[in-house]
Amino acid sequence: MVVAGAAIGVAFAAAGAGGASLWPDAAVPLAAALGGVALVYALHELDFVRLPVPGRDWQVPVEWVSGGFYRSAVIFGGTVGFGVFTRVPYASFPILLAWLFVSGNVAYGLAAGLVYGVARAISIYSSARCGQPEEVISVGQRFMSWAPALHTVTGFALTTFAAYLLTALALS
Amino acid sequence: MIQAPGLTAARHGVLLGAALLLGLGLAAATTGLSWQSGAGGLGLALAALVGLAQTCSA
Repeated sequence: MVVAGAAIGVAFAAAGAGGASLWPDAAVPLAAALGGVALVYALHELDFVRLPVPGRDWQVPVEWVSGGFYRSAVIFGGTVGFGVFTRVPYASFPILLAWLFVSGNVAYGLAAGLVYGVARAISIYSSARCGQPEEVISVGQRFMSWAPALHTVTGFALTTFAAYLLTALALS
Repeated sequence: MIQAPGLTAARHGVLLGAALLLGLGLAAATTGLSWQSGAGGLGLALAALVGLAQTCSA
C-alpha cells in the first residue's frame, strides 16, 4: 500500500514534469486554477455545497484476495494504495494528485506519495497487532468513529492550502 | 451523538474562516519563500491527513 502510494505520487509528478517541459510557463496559471478548484471543493468537504467527486465505486474482487496471505496482501494493498482504482471518499485526494501534477517535482511526488501511503495503511498496521477477530473488528470500529472528525480536519487543511496558494501567487 | 444541523454548519463556518485566515497569514508571513516551497509543505500535511481520513473511512 505504501509502495502504491509512492508510485501514484511519482506518476502524477512525472506527468506534470513532462507537461512543464512542453509548456514551461504553465505552472502559475495551473496553480491558480488549482487554488480556485481546491477552495470550491473545500466548501464541499465542509458540507456547504454538494459537488461530484471524481472516482469510482469499484472494489477489489473477493477472488483476487482469496489466495495466500502475502499474495492477497500485495494485491489488496497494491490496488487500494493507488487510491484511484477504488472508491474515493474525499475530494481532497484528487486535489492532492492535481497538486503533485502542478508541482512537477518527481522527488516531491515520491515523498508526498510515501506520506499518503504510510498514513493510508495505519489501520492495517493496527489490525495486524490483533490476535483475535473480535479485536480486529473493535480496532476497525474505533478508526471508523474518527472518520467524520478527520473529514472535517481534512476540509480545514484543504481550505488553508487553497487560501495559501491563491494568496502566495497574488503576492509573488 | 446527534447534533443540530445549524450547529454543525456554524462550527464548519468558523473552521472555514479560521482556515482562510491561516492560509492568508501563512502566505503573508512567508513572502521570502517561493510559493512552491510553502505549498509543498502544506501539500505534505494534506497528504498525511488525506491518508489518515481514508484509513478511517474503510
